[in-house]
Amino acid sequence: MDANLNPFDVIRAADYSDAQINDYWVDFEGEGLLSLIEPLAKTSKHILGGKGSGKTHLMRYCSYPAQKLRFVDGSLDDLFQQGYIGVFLRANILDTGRFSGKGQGDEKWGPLFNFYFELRLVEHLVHILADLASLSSEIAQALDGISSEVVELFDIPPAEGFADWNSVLHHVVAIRKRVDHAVNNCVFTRNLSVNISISPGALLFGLPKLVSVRVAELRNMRFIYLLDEVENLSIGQQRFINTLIRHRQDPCTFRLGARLYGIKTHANYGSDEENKDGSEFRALYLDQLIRARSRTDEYKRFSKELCAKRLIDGGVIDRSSDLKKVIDRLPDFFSTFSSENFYETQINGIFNSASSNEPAYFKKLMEQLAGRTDQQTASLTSNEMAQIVLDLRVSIAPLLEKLNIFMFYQDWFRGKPLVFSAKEIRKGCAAFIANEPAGHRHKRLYGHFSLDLLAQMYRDFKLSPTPMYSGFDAFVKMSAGVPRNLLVILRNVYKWSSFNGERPFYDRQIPISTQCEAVSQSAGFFFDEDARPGIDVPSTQNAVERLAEYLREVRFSSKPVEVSPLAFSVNVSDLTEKAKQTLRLAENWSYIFKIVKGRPNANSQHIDDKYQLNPMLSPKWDLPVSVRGDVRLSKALAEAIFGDVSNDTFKLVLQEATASLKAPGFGKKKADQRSTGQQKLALDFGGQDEI
Amino acid sequence: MELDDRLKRKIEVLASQAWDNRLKWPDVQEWLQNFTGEYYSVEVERSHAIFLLSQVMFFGQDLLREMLKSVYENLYRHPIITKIRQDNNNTLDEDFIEARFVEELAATRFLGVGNPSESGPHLLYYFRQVNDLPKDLFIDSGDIYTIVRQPDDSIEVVQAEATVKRYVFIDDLLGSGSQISSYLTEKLNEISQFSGAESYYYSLFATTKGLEAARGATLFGAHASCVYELDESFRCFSERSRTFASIPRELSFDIAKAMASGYGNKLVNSDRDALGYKDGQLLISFLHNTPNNSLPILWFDVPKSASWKPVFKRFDKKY
Repeated sequence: MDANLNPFDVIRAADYSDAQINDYWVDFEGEGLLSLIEPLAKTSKHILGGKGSGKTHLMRYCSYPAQKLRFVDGSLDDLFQQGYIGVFLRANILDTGRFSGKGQGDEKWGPLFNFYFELRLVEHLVHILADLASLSSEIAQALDGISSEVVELFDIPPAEGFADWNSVLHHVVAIRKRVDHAVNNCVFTRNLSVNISISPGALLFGLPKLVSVRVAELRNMRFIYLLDEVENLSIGQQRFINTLIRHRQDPCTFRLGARLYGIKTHANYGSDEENKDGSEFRALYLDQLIRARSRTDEYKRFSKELCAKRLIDGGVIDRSSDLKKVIDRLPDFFSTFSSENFYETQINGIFNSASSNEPAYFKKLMEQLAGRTDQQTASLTSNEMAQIVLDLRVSIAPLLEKLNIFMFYQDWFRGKPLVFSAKEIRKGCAAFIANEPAGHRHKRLYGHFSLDLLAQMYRDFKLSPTPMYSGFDAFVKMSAGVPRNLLVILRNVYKWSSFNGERPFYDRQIPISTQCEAVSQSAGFFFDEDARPGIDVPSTQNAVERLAEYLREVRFSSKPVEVSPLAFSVNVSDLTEKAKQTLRLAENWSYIFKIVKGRPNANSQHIDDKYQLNPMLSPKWDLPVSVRGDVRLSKALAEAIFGDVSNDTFKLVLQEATASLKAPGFGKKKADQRSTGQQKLALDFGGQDEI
Repeated sequence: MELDDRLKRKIEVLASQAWDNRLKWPDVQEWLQNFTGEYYSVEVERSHAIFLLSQVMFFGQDLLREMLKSVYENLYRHPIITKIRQDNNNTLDEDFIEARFVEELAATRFLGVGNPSESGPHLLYYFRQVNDLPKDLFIDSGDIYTIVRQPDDSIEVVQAEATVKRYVFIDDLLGSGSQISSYLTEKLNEISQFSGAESYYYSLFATTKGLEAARGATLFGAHASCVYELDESFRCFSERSRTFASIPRELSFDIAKAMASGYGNKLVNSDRDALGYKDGQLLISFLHNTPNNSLPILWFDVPKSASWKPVFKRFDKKY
């Protein structure tokens, strides 16, 4: 195998060959993706999901070319057993932009597009049936037999009729080409004259119906029209598809694949009623469904299989290898960090890599104490300050020093006497190390904040990248239920590992440093390059950057209020339209996810909407990949992040919102000043009140 | 992102997309070990070194082959076709033109510049291959003429093949022009004595200065040309340098130059050649070799006498 060929290079299902669609197919055990798409169900479905959530792969897996490759020994029994025939069409191949302008009115383009769209789908269908005829003489005979009846489906039947199935195919192709020719030349001829020879749905529903009745072998088959990338269709064009869905006839059904924001209308022609979820169609939010499983072993298994199949198919791992064994071995290919003995290995690494062994956090604490900014520190002597630092020191486990300082900040914020607090913390820490009950506060806080504190240590020593994003499990968490994101990370891991001369997935583990380079680039790719282009991109990206900046401030503050801050809650109904729109766009482009179960607002009966930042972006801002706590955004802060607010204003609001988390002031000084200011205002009768 | 990380990313993209995967990061790291902080801090020197590396133009197999096609099509064939048409009332008769061209081709001999073991002649193999030319059109420069002893015992230089009208010298890079001058002057002088014979010089790359030299009256005159002319902006420390047209704010032109010339001087032991032969200052490398006109810090490699590890190896001439 050429080491320069990256087995994870192809990440878009649209670029896979039909064989790769099958080879790379992975499904959940039990209730899998196929059961979600329900190929046999009559009700049409909208398969919605973010970029890379697997819509195209799922739909192409159900399409006839991929189905055919799964036939055992070319026998059609497998198809009959599956019970459906998938007719797949990517909306963007229709080149929908052609069907507008050129000096022609919309009243012409609408019906023409609808006609063309039906022809393209029917052409695929007739091709598939012709292919089936080549595999079965019974089907061939039956199709030839009904050819003459197909004529009846046309409003303008071909003069020569249809002698056999091939003549049906030739006729459909010929009229489709006539439309192509007319549309392509219309810009020169300024003339758009096409004979629309069928009524809407006549062939789309008529052919399967005829086949179902007259071709015994295909009697019980369902015909699924799989339309992908529907977001590329205009409102008018989607309206036509909605009409087809509304007036669907057996044995046909539709599966529409689109981005989260891709369905622009539920309206249809000839009826004032819109199509309704649960009635004419059912919406299936693919990434949400996978994300719901993303914390389970099921998703881990799914992800490992996805990766293992690529490695085997790419020849990186011997093709004769047992898939299960490769899956089991997979996590061992990646170095990761150990939490043993208070992350001893990592901490040693930090101290070894740093230019100085003097922990910056103690120096900072001394400066904060020496600043004597409040009543608690005002009376501290130098000896007392030195004693505080001494009490908080744990040289055998520096991470516990960080924990002690964090607890000290908490006590400081709560107004406890500082010398006493440091002594109590020292006792608690000793008890925690000895695993005694008196160490319960340490135990609880260490359990919650150890990773955040470790991240803080890397930052204290100005070391990057951090190891927080290493290991296969971290990649799985970062992918957040979007298989493509996992593939993007693995592609970069393989690329960097090869470039670093490491022979990835061969013998040695891929070092943490290489993995960090990969995730960092993947995060940048997701943020900058993978985003949908458009005029709203800068403002949406700006909002995401502000949100991440806020979460980072929380995580790296003296006294973080939430563990692993990645999620946030906000009362959306309170926000301006601009902020709501930006929030919606950020969600549509998967920069953030909505967490279905919101958070009760402590100040009202209202349930706030809860979101989280996509963990793919975490390495960009040193944020965690797991969600635990969520921070609540006030209206002012949410507007500063998502609304139409200048950078300077945002900085001010951010400073105010995080002041209470930062030593030595903890926002008190500001609050004191404000309350003093308010008092002054009440008592001030000068200036304008003078007569 | 830190400067070194940004530069590493750039090198990775160049290595995989433009340099035929010729370099891996350990190769770069090994090369960076050469910069030991003699002039600035180790970190500063190495950042500047990676930056210079990120500006190298590497021409791999595919590019060189395309350029060799261009030499044949654009520099050799098209002017002949133009002349045939001009001499024949601007005819568009393809068969006629092609027949005449075949005659001209048969009266042409292609040669390399330099010793057969050097890069110029080495290119001829690929030149013949990509342009699908018969091998009898290629000769060694020693086969241009023979020396014949006359009955009166005098020596006469005689054209080896009297039907040849064109001697076309193919080269990879024309640097200062001194090599072709020393190597070809005598031969060109002899060729000029043969009735109806002309000499041509086509190079894949040529510096503006080198091209001027080649176009001198004693060399090729108007018969010298190249596919890719390297003007002053390709000299990396010139005033018009494209290398430093846009540099990361953490880096400095002066530091890069002082460091490259400082180490370069120690390597080649010459002020004049510290930034490449005759102050070439190029950042260019080919699949088959790195020219000595490029910065010595890129290619210098004398295994017995120095511990310098090159990043784009040069296969030096041994005279």
